[in-house]
Amino acid sequence: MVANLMKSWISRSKVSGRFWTAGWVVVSIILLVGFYLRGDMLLLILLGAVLGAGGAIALQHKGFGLAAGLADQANPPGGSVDLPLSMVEYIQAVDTRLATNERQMEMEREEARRIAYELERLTDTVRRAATSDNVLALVKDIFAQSVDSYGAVIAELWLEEVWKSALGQTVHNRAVQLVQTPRGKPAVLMAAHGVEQGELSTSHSRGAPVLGVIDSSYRLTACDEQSLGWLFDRTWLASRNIRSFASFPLTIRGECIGAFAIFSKDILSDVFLGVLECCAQVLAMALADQRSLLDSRQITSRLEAANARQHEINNHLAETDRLKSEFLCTVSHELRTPLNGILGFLGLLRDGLAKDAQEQAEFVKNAYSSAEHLLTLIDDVLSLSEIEAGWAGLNLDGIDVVTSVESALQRFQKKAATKGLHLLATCSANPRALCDAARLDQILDKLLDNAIRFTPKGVVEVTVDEDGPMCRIEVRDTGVGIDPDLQSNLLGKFQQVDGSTKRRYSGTGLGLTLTRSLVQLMGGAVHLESAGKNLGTTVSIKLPLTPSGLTGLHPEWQGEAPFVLVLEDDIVAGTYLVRLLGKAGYRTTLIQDVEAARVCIRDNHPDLLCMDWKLSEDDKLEGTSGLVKEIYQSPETLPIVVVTGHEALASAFFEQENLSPEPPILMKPIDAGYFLRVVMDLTAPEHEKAA
Amino acid sequence: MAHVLVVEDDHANARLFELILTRVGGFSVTVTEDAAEVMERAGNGSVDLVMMDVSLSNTEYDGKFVDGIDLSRLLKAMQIAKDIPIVLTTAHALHGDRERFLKESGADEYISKPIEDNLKLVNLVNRLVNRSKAA
Repeated sequence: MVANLMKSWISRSKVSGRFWTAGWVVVSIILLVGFYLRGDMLLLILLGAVLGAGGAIALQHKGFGLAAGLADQANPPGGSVDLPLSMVEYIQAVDTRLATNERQMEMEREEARRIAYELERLTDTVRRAATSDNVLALVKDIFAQSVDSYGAVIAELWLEEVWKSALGQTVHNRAVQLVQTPRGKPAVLMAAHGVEQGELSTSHSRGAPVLGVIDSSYRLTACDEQSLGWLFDRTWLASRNIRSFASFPLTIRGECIGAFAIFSKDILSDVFLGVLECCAQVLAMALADQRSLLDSRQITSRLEAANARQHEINNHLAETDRLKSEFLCTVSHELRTPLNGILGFLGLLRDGLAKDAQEQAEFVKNAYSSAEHLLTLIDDVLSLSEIEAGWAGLNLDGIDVVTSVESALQRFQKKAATKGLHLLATCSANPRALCDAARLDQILDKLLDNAIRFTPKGVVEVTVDEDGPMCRIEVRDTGVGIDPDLQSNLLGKFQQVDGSTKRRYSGTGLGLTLTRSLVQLMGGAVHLESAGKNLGTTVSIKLPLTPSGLTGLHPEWQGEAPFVLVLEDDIVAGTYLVRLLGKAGYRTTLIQDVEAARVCIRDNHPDLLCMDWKLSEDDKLEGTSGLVKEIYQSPETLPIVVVTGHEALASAFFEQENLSPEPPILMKPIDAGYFLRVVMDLTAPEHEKAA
Repeated sequence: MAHVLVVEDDHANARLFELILTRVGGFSVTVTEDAAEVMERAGNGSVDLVMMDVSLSNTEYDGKFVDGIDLSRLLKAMQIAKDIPIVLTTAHALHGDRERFLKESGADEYISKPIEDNLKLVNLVNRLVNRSKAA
């Protein structure tokens, strides 16, 4: 029974056959000896036998364990290699295993080296971006890196249109294309590698969908064939051998300004996608730098322009000051000269120094003509001051110009004859100018007086004709003429060709200035021309013709007439517009600066703003553009008509600022009839306007 | 009887000076605006005093336009004429004109137009003529 028990235990412990048999023999001998001796010894012997058998079994088990350990060593854990049974096989397996490991490590080292190289290149790129302001060169660098390291077939840089200036120009002029981005802003392909213009229209009509598909941040990668095929035409991809695509946003302070994209023949790994994304960021920063550099340059050049302008104004002020002193000097001299005659001859009479009645008469005549001369001077100075102060009376009416010219000629006939000059008029038209008859006489007197004074011999001829909406009066002489260098000065205030004490001709130098002011006061213009010294002079003036049926008011206006605000800093031009509008029945007010106009618009609600346009040309009207913008933004409607000498400037402003509808812009000197039609149209009752 | 040369371009003014100098002062007078005549008369010793207008509109000398300042300088540079007193007569009468003109021309006196006191003018002429004769 015990033997059976042993047997079953041994069998359970998986003891091999040989030891099993030996154990059995030992147990049998012990049992036989035990049965033979009998008595007290039997139990002792039995116990000893059992212990001996257990020791033998334990010993056998230890040897088994050693063998199993060896087998474990020849069979690598987790491997698929079968447990080699011989030692040679075992060593071969170990070698193969080591070689495989070596290859993998080498590949990993290679990968690490490549990444290190790319990172180094990226660092270089960043350094270059930081030290150079040549963004174009940087773009080219990054393109080259994309081609060398990432197998780029096509590399592209897209920028939103407002950022175009930052790059300055396209790298490839051939590859410029504009697409709408998802956010509605147009983006421009600013630089491209590997794309031809022709290709853009076909393959890159898919360029547009590309940016369309990309989410609003421009980020997209497609590094497997399926998603690439979904984005692009497979035939095109195959023709260019393209296997992956990546687009990265260029962001500046959270704002996306464009994208950097590459089409590659390699499959791009995550690491390289990361490096490319860094490149995109470097590019974005460089572009931002470039733009702020350009902005600061622009500010600098604007400052320089402002300084130059200031300098110019200073010079102008100094020049005006000089001319004023010269004028004072001249006027003082010119007033004292006739006074000398008046006082001197009267003094001789008072002191009874005339020999006889004949001499008395001569003294009186001399004193009288000096007084007349003085009166003319005083009249001129006063007229000019009056015009410049805006007090000039102006009675606009349809005037028969030819009649005025003929009577002026009669007034000067005697004076011309004394100098032996021919004075004649040629009238090829019979215009009616819209002007003040007395002022026109004053102008003609000045022009004829000047022409006769400065012409030693020859002819003074007056011609009258029509030129478009204007009437033209020309006074041509064969006199001393004017040096071309000096002509531009001559219409300026108080100018005579020679301001020195050696002047050959007397006069205050006010004649032409007064003429110009008077002509401008009546909405006209003066032009002076001379081929040169001793080649004669032609002064031509243009005055607006009388519009047929001079009534501006719409027949349906009932009650109070429309109110027109005239914003014009030049008092002469302003006076004319006010008088002209007044003649046509409008209520008007003349305002010379923008701030006052703003107040008037707010408080008096004019029906029309008639304004000059000067921008920075004149300080007083510096804010015209600002005022116009305010008016366009205001909910209240205030029609505008611009009357200016800077037609192009005004027109460009409305176009640039996109203000519509663009108001009528009239060039000075204006056609009075057209101006009044425009005003009538703009102030017409609402239902008329709609029609 | 002292002889006064009046250099003046304005006919009315010239006539006035002539009348004042002859009727009030009892001088003999020659009026001219011709530079060559001025030089000649001053050079031949027939002139005791020159009344010189500053602004001359038609006077040429040596092919150039000259004014009363230039003419005065020319006269003062002539050995024979340098002692002839010159009185500038001018309607340039602003502050500083008197000093400036006298300095530039080398003339002896300055009278502004209009002439306010005929006697004063005559006395001035007499004083200058006597002083130059005494010298």
